[in-house]
Amino acid sequence: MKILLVCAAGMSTSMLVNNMKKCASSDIEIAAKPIGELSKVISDWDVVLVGPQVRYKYKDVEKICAQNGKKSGLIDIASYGRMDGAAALKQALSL
Amino acid sequence: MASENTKKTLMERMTDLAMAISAPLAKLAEKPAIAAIQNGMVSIVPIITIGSVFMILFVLGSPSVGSAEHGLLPFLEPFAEKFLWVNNMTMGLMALYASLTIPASYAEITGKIDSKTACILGLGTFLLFTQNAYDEAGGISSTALGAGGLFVCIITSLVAIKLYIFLVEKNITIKMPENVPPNVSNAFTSMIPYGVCFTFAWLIRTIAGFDMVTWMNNVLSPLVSESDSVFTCLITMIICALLWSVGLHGDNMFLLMFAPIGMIWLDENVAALAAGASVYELPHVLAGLGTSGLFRMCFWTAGVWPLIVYLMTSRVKYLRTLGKAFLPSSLFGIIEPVVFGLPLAMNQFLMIPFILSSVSGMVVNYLLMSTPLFGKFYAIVPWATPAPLIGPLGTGDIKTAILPFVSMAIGMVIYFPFWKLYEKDCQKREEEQAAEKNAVEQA
Repeated sequence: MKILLVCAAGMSTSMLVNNMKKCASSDIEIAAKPIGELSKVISDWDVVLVGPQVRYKYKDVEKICAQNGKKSGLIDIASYGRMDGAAALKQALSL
Repeated sequence: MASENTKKTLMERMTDLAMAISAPLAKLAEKPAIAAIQNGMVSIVPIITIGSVFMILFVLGSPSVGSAEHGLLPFLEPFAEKFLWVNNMTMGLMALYASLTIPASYAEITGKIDSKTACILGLGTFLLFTQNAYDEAGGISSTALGAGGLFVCIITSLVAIKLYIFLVEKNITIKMPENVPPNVSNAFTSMIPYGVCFTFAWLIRTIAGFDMVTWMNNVLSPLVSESDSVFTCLITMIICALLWSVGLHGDNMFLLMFAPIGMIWLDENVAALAAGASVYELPHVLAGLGTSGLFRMCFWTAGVWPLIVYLMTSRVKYLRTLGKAFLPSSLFGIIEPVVFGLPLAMNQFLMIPFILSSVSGMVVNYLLMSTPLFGKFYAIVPWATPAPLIGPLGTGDIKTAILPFVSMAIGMVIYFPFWKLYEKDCQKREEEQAAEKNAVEQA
């Protein structure tokens, strides 16, 4: 299972990635990248989560993911704010 | 009660306004052409940053910058012009680089053409559309390849890719038998679209003799130069802060659209420096708008840093804990934890002072920087640099380190009354929770 988080520069989501890794089993790979690179790297990932600050681009992400047969989700604002790794991980796994 | 009502409606009105602004911006950002320009410009920022580093070395070493007889670091003097050359070949050729990155981004977004083909198509079309002959020494004009050709480069990049996709979709290509390897057949597929794009560009530039770069620079350049004003600063800041106040990435959603203009201003500052002006006399205060510069230096120090100070010194324990948690990332300009974690976004107490202090801090800083007391930006500094270092690194003027603190002081004053209300509200809630907990325990 490979989970990709995207936001503007992949900086603030990388903080959430660290928290997610703490709760994830070792066979789950998680990383953060800038949203602009998504179409280039999409084939390497299974699930894409989008940071709420770039939710205006979510439709694009949905489209790219659908075209490549991947799953996508928008990270809940409250769990993003708490940098709640467990909640974000649960969301990714439930997609 | 009455005051609470008016406050609520004011917040609602601001939320409505932010939503009204964000809806068309979101639509615009979804357009492949706009996204391609933005991604393409972001791709050339590293090249321009490298150019900036050498520009700083030039300024430190050159005896011709400003009125001083020697550079700040005289041992660099023999290399000054050589440092400048790196800037000439990076920032000075920004349109040439963009003629590769914008088509490549467009190709990636549309998915209908591979990026290598897009790069070649973009570069060829751009060169043929801007150059018509070698000069006597065998050179071509560099004006069109630099900031002066940036708008033309955006146009040729988008038109060429659109035309290519159109021709391929209409099947106007050379077909190869099925057993020909894909690499070979791809090369032939692109031949007719290349030919059409290059011929169009050549017809307009060389045969008809229309030089769009010169034409654009005559028409647009005065406009672009003039538009670096306190009003531009005010309006862009208001929109950017409004978007952040509802939890949208104002910098990427809106400010990034100004990146081409910001780069042109940056280049004009560099040209002035190379011509011997001092950093205090450069023409553009907003140089680097969209990717670096004044906004990166003063926005968060006015809009977020005061809040961190108030949080860390609060009477309410959990606010202090939050403040400490927000501090490290905020120092580097990563403020999403505050925006979504406090939260600052949609916060009825803090939305208003956030916008007011960001805007006032920025305008005051613009006015201060436009005086001859402070240096102007001529170098791009990576955005996650702590704010007090952005000025000295980007302008070469150590005094600019105080500007972020000026905007922070303004923010401290504006936030204060709103913060008191917010803190009181938080305290009340904390006490209520504690009382509830006690009641449960006693029962």
